[in-house]
Amino acid sequence: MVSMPDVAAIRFGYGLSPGVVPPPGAASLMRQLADAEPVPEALAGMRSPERILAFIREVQGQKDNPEAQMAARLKLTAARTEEQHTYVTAVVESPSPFFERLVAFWTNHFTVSAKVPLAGWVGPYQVEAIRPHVKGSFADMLVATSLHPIMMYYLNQVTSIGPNSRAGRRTGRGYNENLAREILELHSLGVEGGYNQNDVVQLALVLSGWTVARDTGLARFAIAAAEPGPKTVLGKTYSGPEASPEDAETALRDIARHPATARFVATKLARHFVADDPPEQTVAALEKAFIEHDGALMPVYEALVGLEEAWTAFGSKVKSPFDLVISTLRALDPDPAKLADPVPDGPRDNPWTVAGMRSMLQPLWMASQPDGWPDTNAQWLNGLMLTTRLNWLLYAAHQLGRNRDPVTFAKETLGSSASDEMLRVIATAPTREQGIFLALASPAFNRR
Amino acid sequence: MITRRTVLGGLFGCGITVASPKLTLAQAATDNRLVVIILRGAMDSLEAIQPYGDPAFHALRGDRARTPDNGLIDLDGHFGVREELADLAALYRKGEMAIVHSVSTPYRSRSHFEGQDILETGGEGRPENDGWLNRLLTKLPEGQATALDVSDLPSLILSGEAPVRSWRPNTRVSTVQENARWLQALYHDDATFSGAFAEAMAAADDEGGSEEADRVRGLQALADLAGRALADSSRIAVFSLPAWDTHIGQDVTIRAPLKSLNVAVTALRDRLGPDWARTTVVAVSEFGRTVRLNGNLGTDHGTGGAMIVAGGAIAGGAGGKVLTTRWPGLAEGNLLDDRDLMPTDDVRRYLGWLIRDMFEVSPQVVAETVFPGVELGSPVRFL
Repeated sequence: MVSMPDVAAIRFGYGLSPGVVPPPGAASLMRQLADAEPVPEALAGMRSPERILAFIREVQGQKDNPEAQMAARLKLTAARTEEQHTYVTAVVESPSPFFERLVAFWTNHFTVSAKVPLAGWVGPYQVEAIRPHVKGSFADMLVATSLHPIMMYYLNQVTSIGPNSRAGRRTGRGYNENLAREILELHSLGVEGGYNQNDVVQLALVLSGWTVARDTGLARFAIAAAEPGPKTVLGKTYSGPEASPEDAETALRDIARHPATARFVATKLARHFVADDPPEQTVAALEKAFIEHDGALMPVYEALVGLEEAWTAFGSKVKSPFDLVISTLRALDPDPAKLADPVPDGPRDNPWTVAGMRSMLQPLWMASQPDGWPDTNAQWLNGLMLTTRLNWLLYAAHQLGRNRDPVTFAKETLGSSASDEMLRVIATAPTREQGIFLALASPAFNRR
Repeated sequence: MITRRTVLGGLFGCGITVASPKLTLAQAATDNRLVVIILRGAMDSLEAIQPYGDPAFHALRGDRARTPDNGLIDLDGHFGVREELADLAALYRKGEMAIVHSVSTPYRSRSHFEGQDILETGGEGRPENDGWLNRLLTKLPEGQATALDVSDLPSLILSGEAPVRSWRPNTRVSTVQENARWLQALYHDDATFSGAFAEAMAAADDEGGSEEADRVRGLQALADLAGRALADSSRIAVFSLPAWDTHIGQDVTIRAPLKSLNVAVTALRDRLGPDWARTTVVAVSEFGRTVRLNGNLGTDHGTGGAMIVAGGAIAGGAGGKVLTTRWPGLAEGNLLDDRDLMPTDDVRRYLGWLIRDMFEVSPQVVAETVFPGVELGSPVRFL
């Protein structure tokens, strides 16, 4: 049986780290969460408006000067690379791993991705739209993410115009339903949530007018682009003859309160913390907490850590590459300077962190679809995925772990999840480095 | 006194880290060179150097035991070497290779890590804090001997107060395939992981050939580098060869490491040119392996083993001989703990006399400083 502190550290957090005492149980886990600093100091400098403006002016604005455009692109990419490394280091070193795991969960739920160039500022997006609300309310997070400039670029909101708005009638351009669809399908009700195509269109019309101001890089409601007249989404009607900036927020808050949203969010949390196919009772318990507290999230987390299955189903989830990198670095505890972006003015990624994740096919902040990274074992564990994972672990053991005793390391890193049989195998390794590698390659270390 | 400037940059390029300031060298009374190759994983001395003349050997190893009639290269009518060591056998015939058999360190617990630590620190019951080669360096006249450590991390055998140069080859020590046996054991009880691993190994099988060629090239480069350093100003060099831990299918799994050893020694000789006549290469391992094969046609950790010595320096001395204080034989009752080759002497004794010959260090210094606690006994002449 795996002890509660070890489950608390490994399943709810990012693994055991030498010298760090894991929370003994549910109550201290919640205390750790309550005490967590939403925006760690290292990340406080990440601001999206500057990045957006730099892109607009120096990249888009210099179309007739390809050299300057390329230089500006490289500079922006280098800045993002630095932010990626800063973020990873912050997570590795965080005193609140449960909070950081929730941040990562919600950032994935409300995915934006560098696959769309202007949407690559996931760090600032996370700081501005996710972190302040992880301990707050789901509705606040839904509003903040839906109307965040980065999200609006990512899901083409900036080019969405109400066809009957002044701008629409003048230019003949119409709405783009991408953001509205993903809000309903991925962020709130879920694909089975009971909305239809008409709801998608109507929501897109409610959202029309919302765009990014090119002079400030901030979200802006352009009434000239907003579709006039009432719109009905999921049976509720918004806006009078003229559109108003409050309409979108009102609609989003109603969507957050929809019963299907509670179920969808509960299912995703249960999948992340308990099992790929979570038991009905688990989902129901989280759903109930969500509804009873009107989408306030702390009571939902409280309900989660209060579930027996959250503690006993240890090992049912395979760690994603992100999880693996963070927990490996926490276990090996290297000098922080080793985790930084190694080349200050070039886009080179650190093999222990960002490049490592890419080699394991989970490039940080570059999910290929708006539904983000999958959260099921089958996606992360097959022949190819295991090969990439083992190769990275060989590298990590070689670089960071060579002068440690492997059995001691395995016991410290895995605590009560290390079986005698596993320790026996590790003890027979021909070199210390291989022993460390085996500890990291073990099922116990790759599951949570 | 003639001084020579050390030449660094041109020789090694950007891979070098200089742990000591530039040294001016006096022309030494002896210009002998020593290379120590650490065979990590416990080489099976009975597989590499087969006592085919011992009747019990065939009884214990069955058809895995070879003879000169089926591929074994005879050395002295009693011992032979596997064909992967063909170049070493040729050196033996020229009087430039010797074997020291049935020796071990004082260590008896059969753990790789502890065994290697004791091998490298020359310790008695427990590892010392520094390497025996470094302790030797502290006793050589300043400037006479500079040492090169070819390793990604400082080798224990050269760690200590005397300054040492290092060159970091930045190669990966092991691959997924080299770890396959242990990974299979680790994943045995986890169906998802063992399934995924089987898939991974099936895919990797197609790429096996190029890995072998890469490894050989890497080794040649390593030995080449050590050889060039020794041809210039270094007098001692150290590097390691892995993959000796042949628990499974030993007949097959020992081929690659044996070939590496053969390639390494040959590359050194080729690079050293005329300096080969003043060089000794010593290959040692932390312990030997069990005499009987296990259920996987491999062997497990043992005790008594062999040391391989090669170089022009031993011609006319120990070269062309298999040295053993006493061959214990492999009959039941002659094995250690009824499983291992019985060590009949301390490997440090032989290393001690080799050092005494190579560097003219007194036996007293060897017994007090280099290998504290060793019983040197009667002299063994290497050179």
